[in-house]
Amino acid sequence: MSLKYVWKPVALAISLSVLAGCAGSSNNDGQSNTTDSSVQTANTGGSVDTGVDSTVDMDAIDGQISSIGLDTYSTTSVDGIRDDVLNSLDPSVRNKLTAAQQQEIINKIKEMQRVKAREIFFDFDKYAIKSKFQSVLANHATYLADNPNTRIRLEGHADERGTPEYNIALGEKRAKAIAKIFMSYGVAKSQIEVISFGEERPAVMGHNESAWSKNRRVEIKY
Amino acid sequence: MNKFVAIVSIVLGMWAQLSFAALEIEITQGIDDARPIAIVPFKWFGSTESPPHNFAEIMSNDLTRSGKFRAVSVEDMPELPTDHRQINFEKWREKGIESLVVGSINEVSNNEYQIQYQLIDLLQDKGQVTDSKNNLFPYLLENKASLVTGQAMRKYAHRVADSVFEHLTGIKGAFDTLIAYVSVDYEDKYPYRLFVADSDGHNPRELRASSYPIMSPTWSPDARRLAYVGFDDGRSAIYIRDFTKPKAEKVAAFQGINGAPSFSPDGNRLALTLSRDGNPEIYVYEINTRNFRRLTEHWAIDTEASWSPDGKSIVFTSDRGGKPQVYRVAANGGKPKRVTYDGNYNASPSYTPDGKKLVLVHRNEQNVFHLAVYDFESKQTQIITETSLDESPSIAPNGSMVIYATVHRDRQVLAAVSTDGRFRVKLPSSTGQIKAPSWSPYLN
Repeated sequence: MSLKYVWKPVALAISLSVLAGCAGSSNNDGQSNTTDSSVQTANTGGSVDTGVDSTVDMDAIDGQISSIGLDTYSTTSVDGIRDDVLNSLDPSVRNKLTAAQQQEIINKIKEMQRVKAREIFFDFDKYAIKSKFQSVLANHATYLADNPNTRIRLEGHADERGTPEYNIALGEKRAKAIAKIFMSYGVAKSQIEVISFGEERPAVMGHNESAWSKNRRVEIKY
Repeated sequence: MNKFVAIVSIVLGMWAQLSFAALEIEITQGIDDARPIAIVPFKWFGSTESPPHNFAEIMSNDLTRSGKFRAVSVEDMPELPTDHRQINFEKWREKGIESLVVGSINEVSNNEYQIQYQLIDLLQDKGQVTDSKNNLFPYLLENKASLVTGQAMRKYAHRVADSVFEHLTGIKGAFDTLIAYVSVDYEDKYPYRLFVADSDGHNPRELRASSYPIMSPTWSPDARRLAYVGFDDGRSAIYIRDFTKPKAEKVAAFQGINGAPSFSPDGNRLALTLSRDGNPEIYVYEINTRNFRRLTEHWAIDTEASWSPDGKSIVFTSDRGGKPQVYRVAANGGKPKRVTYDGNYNASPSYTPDGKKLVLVHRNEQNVFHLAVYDFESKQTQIITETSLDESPSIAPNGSMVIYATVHRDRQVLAAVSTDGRFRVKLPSSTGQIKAPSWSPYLN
C-alpha cells in the first residue's frame, strides 16, 4: 500500500539537509529530480561537510508522520504506515536509523493514529467490523489497556435509512462490537461507555450514499 | 374534553412556529371518486369584520385531506345560502355536488359565539320544503346550534367536520385529534423539539426542547398521556407526560437503550425496548406497579413493539433471521413467530384498528424504503407510498389514513396516505425538519 499524502513544504525544507534525495514518493519522479538538484546546489554551496553525515533529523520524520492523511490512518496498519515512511527515506539515512529511532517512529505513528482516527465506518444494516479498521482499533485498545484511568465513550450511529428505533439498536450493536474488541485487549469494561444515537445525529447532511457512508459510524470519544 | 385541551394549552404555554402547515396541503395523488361537497362560507353576524376563524375553510381542508371528499372552492359555488330554505337544489346538482353544509356564526357576547349549521344531502331532495321541523326534511342530515368561545372555534370546526364525515361515510371522523411530532433544526440552540398540534398542524404546543435527540412519541389510548424518549447527557430515557400534570415522569433509564415505547390498549402497560441485559429486548412495563417483565430473549436486535387491538399479541422488529423482519409474540410471553417474509427489510409494524392488517416500513427491490400494508389473511404485502426514505408510520384512530415521515426536496417532512394507498398528501413545514409523527386516539 502506498501513501496517499503529499509532502508539506515545511517538512520538506527542514529535511533537505539530511534527507538528501528523499522527497516525494516513488511515483513522483519529476519532482524528486527537481528536489535532488536543488539539494545538490544547497549542499555544494552550504557549510555541510559532504564527507561526514549528519545525524538523522527526527523532526523531519515527525512532520512527515503528522502530514499523513486521515484515510491512511484509519484504514492502514501501523506496520504498513511505518514501511511507507521508511521507504520514503533515502537509503543512506534509512540505514542509519537505530532500533530506538525505529521504535520512536512506530510510537509516533501509533499516537498520531490514535489522535486522528476516531471514526469507524460500517456497511448498511451491518455491525460487523471491517478488517481494514483492525489496526486502528488495536492501537486504541492497546493505549486504553496501558492507561486504565482513561475512559472513553463509544457513540454508535446509523444512516437515515430504515426506522429510527431499529437504527438506535443498530448503533448500539456497532458500538458494542468495538467495545468487545477493546475488552479482548484487556481494556476494562468500566473504561468504556456505550451510547447510541441511531440516525438522530448525522455527521454529514444529505440523502445519498456519500453522506450515508459517513454517517454509519462509531465515534471513539476520549 | 374541552377541559383537557384547555389544560394542555395553559400548561404547555408556548406557541411556537414550527409546525406542519395545514394550508399548504399538497395532494400528490387524488382519488377520482372523491365525493364533491360544498362548505358554504358561514354567514357572520358580529362586531368585527370577520369571525375569529374561517369555519368553512377549516372544515373544507379537513374533508379534502381525508381523500374521501373534494371540497369545492367558493368561486365554484352557484349561490351562498346560509339556510336550507334558501337552496336552489337544481343549481348545485348541475355542478355535480352531492352534499352541502351551510351555517352562520353569531357573536352573542364578548368571546362567545353561536354557531349554527346544517348538512344537506342534495341527492335526497324531492324539491318540496314544506315544514320547519327537521324530521320532515329528508335531505336534512343535521341541523345544530352550539355556543363556543373564540379559542374553541377551530376545535369545534373539526368536530363538525367529523360529524359530516360520519354522516356521509359511516366512518367516525378523525379531524378532532392531535398529532405529536419532533422538529429538528441543527442551527437552533436546542435542535430537537417535541410538539403536539391539532391534526391539521395548527396550534403547535412545545413539550420539550433539547440539545439531544427526542424520539418515538406515542399516545396513551385515552389521549391524556404521551410517552417519548429523551436523552440526558446522551443517555436515553423513556418519559411519560401526563397532560394533567406539569412535568413528565421518567419511567425507564437503564444502562443502554431505553426506547420504542408503546401503550397497551387498556393504557395500563407499556411495551418498550431495553438493552440493559446486553441486547435490545422487548419488555412489558406495568405502569402502576413499575414492574418490568422481559418478553424476548435473543442476541439479535428486538425492538419496535406494538400491541394488537385486543391486547393479546405484540408485534415487533427483529433481525434474528439476519435481516429486520416482523415477528409476533403473545403479550404474556411465549415463542415469537415470524410474520413477514416479503423482502429483506420489514420494520416498525403497527396494527390497523380492525386488527386484520399491519402498516409497516418495507424496503422494495430497488432498495427504496416505502410504507406497506401486510394482510394477515392473504399474507400479502402491498406498498402504499411513492415517496422514499419513509419511516415512523402512525395510523389515524379510524384507520383511514397513515401519517409518516419522509424526505421531500432534501428536507424531512410529514406526509399522509390512505391505508388503501389511493390518496396521498404531503404536509410540508415552513422551516426545519419534522419527524416521528404520532396520531392521537379519538379525544372524545
